[in-house]
Amino acid sequence: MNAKLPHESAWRDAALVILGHGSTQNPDSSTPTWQHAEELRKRGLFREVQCAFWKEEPGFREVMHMIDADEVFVVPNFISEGYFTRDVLPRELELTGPVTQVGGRTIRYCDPVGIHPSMTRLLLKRAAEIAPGVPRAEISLVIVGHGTSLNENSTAAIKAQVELIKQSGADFAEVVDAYMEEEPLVAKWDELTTAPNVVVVPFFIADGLHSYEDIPVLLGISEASPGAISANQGEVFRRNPYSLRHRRLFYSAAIGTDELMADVILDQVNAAPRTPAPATQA
Amino acid sequence: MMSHPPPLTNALATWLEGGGRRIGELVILRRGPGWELRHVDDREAADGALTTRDQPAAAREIAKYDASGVYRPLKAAPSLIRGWRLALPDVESLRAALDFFYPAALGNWVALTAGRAAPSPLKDTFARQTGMYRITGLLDEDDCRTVVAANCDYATNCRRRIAWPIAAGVPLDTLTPEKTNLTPAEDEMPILCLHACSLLVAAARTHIKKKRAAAP
Repeated sequence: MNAKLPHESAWRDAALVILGHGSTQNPDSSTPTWQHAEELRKRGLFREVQCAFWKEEPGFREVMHMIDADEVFVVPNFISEGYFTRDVLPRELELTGPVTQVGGRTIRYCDPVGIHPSMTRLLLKRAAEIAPGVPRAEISLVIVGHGTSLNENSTAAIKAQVELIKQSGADFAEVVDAYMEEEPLVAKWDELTTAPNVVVVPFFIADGLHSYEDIPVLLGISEASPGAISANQGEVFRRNPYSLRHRRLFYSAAIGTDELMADVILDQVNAAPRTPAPATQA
Repeated sequence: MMSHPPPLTNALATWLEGGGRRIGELVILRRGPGWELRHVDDREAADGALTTRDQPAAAREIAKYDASGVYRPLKAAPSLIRGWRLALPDVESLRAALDFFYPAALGNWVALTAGRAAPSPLKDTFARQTGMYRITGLLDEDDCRTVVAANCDYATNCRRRIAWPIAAGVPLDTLTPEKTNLTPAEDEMPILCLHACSLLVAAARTHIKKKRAAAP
């Protein structure tokens, strides 16, 4: 019988709640969150696994009523820290801090998945999958984010990942960050890169208008469209490589759709805040 | 079969033993030692006339789109598709399926019945919003009634039963009685609305922005 790590024993009687944004327009927005939850249910590590969403159901205000366990780990399936993870989620969950004690229950509020260093593993894996057999020394890796957004700080998360990838010894020709709405602009991908092969990975939690339409248009691999999510949205990921601007461009689905995100969720549970020690008597 | 069913599963089992068989647009049928879910309008259909599924997660797919293929973010919208049956071996898997069809319905009902739920008055829900929804804090009581009437009709919009008032001491009284009936039929578990949902908050924002734009 395999010896259990101490943290895994603590998990067996605990609940895991994965928080997502969700969407009233894009049915694919919550899909990765549901899929990661299903994967983690199958692994049998927690007593129960639930999801909750800002724009879908169950909502943040009602998810705790679905839970039986007294110990709850909450992991935001968000790509970065920011307005949602700092303000909205704690408010809606009625948290009092990193560790909330309420009604005999302990709720541990973990960091969002996108800022964990282990996202590097996923990015490297995704690059290898969509450009199979292409030597890394001949690849420029581009990690794409939204850029100036009121609700998230994905820029910081992406810059951190670019550094981690550079330090990992992965030996890409270059690794760059690029954005939809701020410099360096993804639309100028050919000016930002030099290698004959360019791998572009959207740093988003789920696929949607940005990865299906907006970024492909900025890259030049799609024509502009009315903006509605079409029935053929996933096609853009299945036509690699694209030959344009004297390069081969390989375009990936959003990194949040990778099945290894389930492990990043566990990494954040593992890094969950500890219960503060009681104040000592003076 | 679980040797120590969780409290919520126990609550569901107790409700079933007491004759509970309806929730939203679903009917629950006893089939041997197990359970079966169907759309209530397919109650009398022959098994062979329906597509049989047997995993609780199938409920998420069934509930995702309406009959026209339009996405259903609001799971209590009266637009659940027909033509399927979901065969489940035990109460635990039935609970899991219900959690997909009507997320948090069981938990909300158990919490309210046990006195552990505190519905948020609508104006409180609006008052705590920040960012782009902060403006909903400007809706007055009449605005609230208007927005609820336009978005929360039981027959056409949403089959949740509202447990909250407009404000403390100001009951919601502009919808049909069934909308605020928290104890419908004996065999029915109500799908409770304990806090106004994000759809209503978004509708409230649209309402107040239009009102202010139209103001002289």
